[in-house]
Amino acid sequence: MPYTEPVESANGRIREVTVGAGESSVAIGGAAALPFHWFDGEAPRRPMIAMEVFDATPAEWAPALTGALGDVMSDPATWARANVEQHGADMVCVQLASTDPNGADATPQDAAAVVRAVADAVRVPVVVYGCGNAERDADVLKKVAETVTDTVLAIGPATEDNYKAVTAAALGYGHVVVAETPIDVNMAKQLNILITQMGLDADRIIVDPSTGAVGYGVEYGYTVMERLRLAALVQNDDMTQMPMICNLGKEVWRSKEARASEQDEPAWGDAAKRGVLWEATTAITLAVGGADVLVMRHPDAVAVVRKALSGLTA
Amino acid sequence: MPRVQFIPEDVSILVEQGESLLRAAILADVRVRASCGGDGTCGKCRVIIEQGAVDARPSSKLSDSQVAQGYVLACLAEIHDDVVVRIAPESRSSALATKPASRVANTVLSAEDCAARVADDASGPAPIGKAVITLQPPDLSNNSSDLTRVRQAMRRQRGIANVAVPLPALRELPDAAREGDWTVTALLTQPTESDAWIAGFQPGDTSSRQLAIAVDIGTTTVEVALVDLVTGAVLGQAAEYNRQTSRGEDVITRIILASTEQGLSELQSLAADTIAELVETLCARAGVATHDIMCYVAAGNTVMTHLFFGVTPRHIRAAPYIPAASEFPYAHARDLSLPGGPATQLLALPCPASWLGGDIVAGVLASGIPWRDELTLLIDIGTNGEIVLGNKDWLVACSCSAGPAFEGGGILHGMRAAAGAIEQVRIDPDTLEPTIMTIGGVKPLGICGSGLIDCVSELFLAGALARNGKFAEADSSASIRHGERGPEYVLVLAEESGTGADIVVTEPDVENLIRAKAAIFAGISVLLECTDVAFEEIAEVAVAGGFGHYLDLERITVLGMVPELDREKFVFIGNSSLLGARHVASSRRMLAMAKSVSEKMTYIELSVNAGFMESFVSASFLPHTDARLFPETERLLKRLREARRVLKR
Repeated sequence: MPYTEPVESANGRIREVTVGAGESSVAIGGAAALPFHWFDGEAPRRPMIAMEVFDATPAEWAPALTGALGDVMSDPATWARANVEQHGADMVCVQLASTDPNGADATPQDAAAVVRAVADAVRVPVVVYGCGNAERDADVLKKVAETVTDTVLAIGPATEDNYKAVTAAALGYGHVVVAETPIDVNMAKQLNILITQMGLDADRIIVDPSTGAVGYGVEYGYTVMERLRLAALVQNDDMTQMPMICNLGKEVWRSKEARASEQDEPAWGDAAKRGVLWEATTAITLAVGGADVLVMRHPDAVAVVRKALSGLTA
Repeated sequence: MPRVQFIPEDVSILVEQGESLLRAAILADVRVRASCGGDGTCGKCRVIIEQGAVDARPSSKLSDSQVAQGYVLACLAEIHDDVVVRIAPESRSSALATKPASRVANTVLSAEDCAARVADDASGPAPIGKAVITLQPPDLSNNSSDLTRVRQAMRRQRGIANVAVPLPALRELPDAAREGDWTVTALLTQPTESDAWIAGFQPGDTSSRQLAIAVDIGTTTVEVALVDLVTGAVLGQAAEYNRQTSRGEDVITRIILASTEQGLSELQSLAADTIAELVETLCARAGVATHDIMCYVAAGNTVMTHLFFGVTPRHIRAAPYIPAASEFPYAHARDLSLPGGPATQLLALPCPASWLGGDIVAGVLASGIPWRDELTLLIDIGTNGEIVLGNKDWLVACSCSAGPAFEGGGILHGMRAAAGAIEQVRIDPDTLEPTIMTIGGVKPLGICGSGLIDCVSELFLAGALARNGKFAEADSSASIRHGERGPEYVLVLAEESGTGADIVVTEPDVENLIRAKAAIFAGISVLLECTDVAFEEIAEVAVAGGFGHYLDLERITVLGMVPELDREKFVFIGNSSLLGARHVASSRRMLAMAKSVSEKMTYIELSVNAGFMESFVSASFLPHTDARLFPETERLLKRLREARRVLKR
């Protein structure tokens, strides 16, 4: 008797969420199988890589990063262009870190101007992350949403504390919401329910399940993502069927292992390679966990991850 | 029972003799306005008696011509016969029905109904009672001692071969025997067939006076029943906050306090004082002497039981979480500063595990589980939600920390279920105007557990609360405003409250309730998962807790506190801990069953159960994160959403 490979077909499917404008728009998600289980069911695309730009020149970054990125860091639009044209980013992720009221306290208008400039500079979709202060993000993302209306942005993070304002902005100006919850299957699901009950279609939500870098709890994040995927595909639970985004660059590059110099930690080896490997390993782990969008920082890490993803999808 | 028919709604309901007409309307879910809690002062609950008659007190809120037309205030009208009632147009609140079509009234079991479930075991000799014996008078030819005569009489007249007589009793014997002309009443403790001892002697036959005190020692509330052991009648029942709450609301705080000798003795006295005052009040009210109290039977969680006996619960708190005892020795009430005679005994129901106490063993007895073949789920709603699943062959139990919200604790305007507590709430889904009913029909002082449950589920059904328990935007309604603690719902305005201040429900109050209900539901989920039992396999759900009659099944289901099962499967049994303690006080066989239950029960420790936290977060949502578990509630919510959309247009 000939051997037939067993196929575990899914009962559900990940939604396709479209971001960007016109011809340069991109769909994410859409899989009907577990990550890279292309032998079990349809897996229409590999995870996208969204490369970060910051709204102001970041201070105290590791030399491994600043050395690789160079002068572009002083201008978000130039930085974004370099990400796409030189490093092949599928998307750009604008981090509006300077809007933090406890930091540089940039205004919503300043933030909107940065996003406008980035959206004009590149022909790929743009993800916009606020500073993480729920109240400020609500104001900033509203301003961004109403300023940039010629492309579908993914705006976030919408949390339990500010989802109403962020969702209203997305509803009003046709954007997609990034819904962030603290590494918990049920809380992710609850936020999706709350957002969809405000009238936003389920295919305009991307879930940010929160994550840690390798060595900082990535396993926990991984299992939560895996369970969200199992609920979506096996149980056909429609409030878990949103694509997932992992905002991992900031997690990796604040770890001591990625940042420490060779002088401080001589036993840890080449600092430049170490940070890149830390980011690439984290990103590949999360891709295997089910990430549909990887938010990344170092161009060399992006190159490594892209190669690994092509290998996995072959 | 008289029947009240409301027209034109055409809803009928049977009520107790003397029940207020306003309560009847609330129970029937007929919408009528009322903001003073049934005090007769707001004058909003005007109804017209169409047929029959009610016993209505006059009100200045009604004109002579209205009275002539048959108007009464529903809260001032007592029902004694069948009546047909129309709600006056100005008193009618929205017609939008917020209840499922298939509404079934709560099945509330009376103590007699519960007793019927435990067959003959509820009657029979009490473990502690009086035995009248006639001693053979001595003479010169029969010169055996008084005590030998007692032993002979016990053997011949009571069939007890070995009876212990400790020193205090022996000291009473010579005088009692002669004073009673060789008839004495022995204060006999006989917990099993073979064990017996005499705690004291009284001259003559005093057997007509035998009282017992059943005590439910809750973390938050203490409830006491005075039982006549001769007739089995309950002479009175009363509850009060456990005075220990002044030293900390939760058990952990109290364990910490009790780790010093002084703290332990303080907590012991506070519990004893709470009980003593209740007992003295009850005895005075019933016209009986505390001297005739034969025994106290206490049921409490393990920590409360330790504290009550003055035994340190310190080692329960830290790994490996070991209690001092599961079964506590018989004690003299006097030694614990409780009212009674010199021989008054005290016993406690066994506590099978550190977090599974005598209260739940009592609850299992009261619900009749050990006599039944079918699977019963017992949910005891208190500071700790205790859940038991099983039948006469097996029992599993868990305990989940629900917090004091169900007893009004940790709630801004929360209070115990006592006179003046808002215990029922209906909310007009259009205007969000509340209709409230208080315990005792007096001016509202605060809100108790059932009132909070009503209020939150009504707000949720009215669309004023989102699924995460946050208030929707304060837009269309004057009832939701921004207070010092964020958004709040105004239940009673200052001018109508008994406190002179507004009574409100805040967002933190709602969060507390959601956490409490989620703990209960998660506990249920874990028990069912551990035993691989499906919801449908449960034949009966017995809901216990000091809520009285007005914990509404529909509303706890809407909140997602209990699974959505056939309504007929639910029965309400009131304070099951107290009822179980009463059973034990009056029957030796019930005491034996309590021990058997305690030994049989398998305890599932939720703190080390990986699934509990998961279930808890999942249940911390209204009604639940998994909408598929609550199809009927989801259908109701959808219908209401659509109705509101139509109304808005």
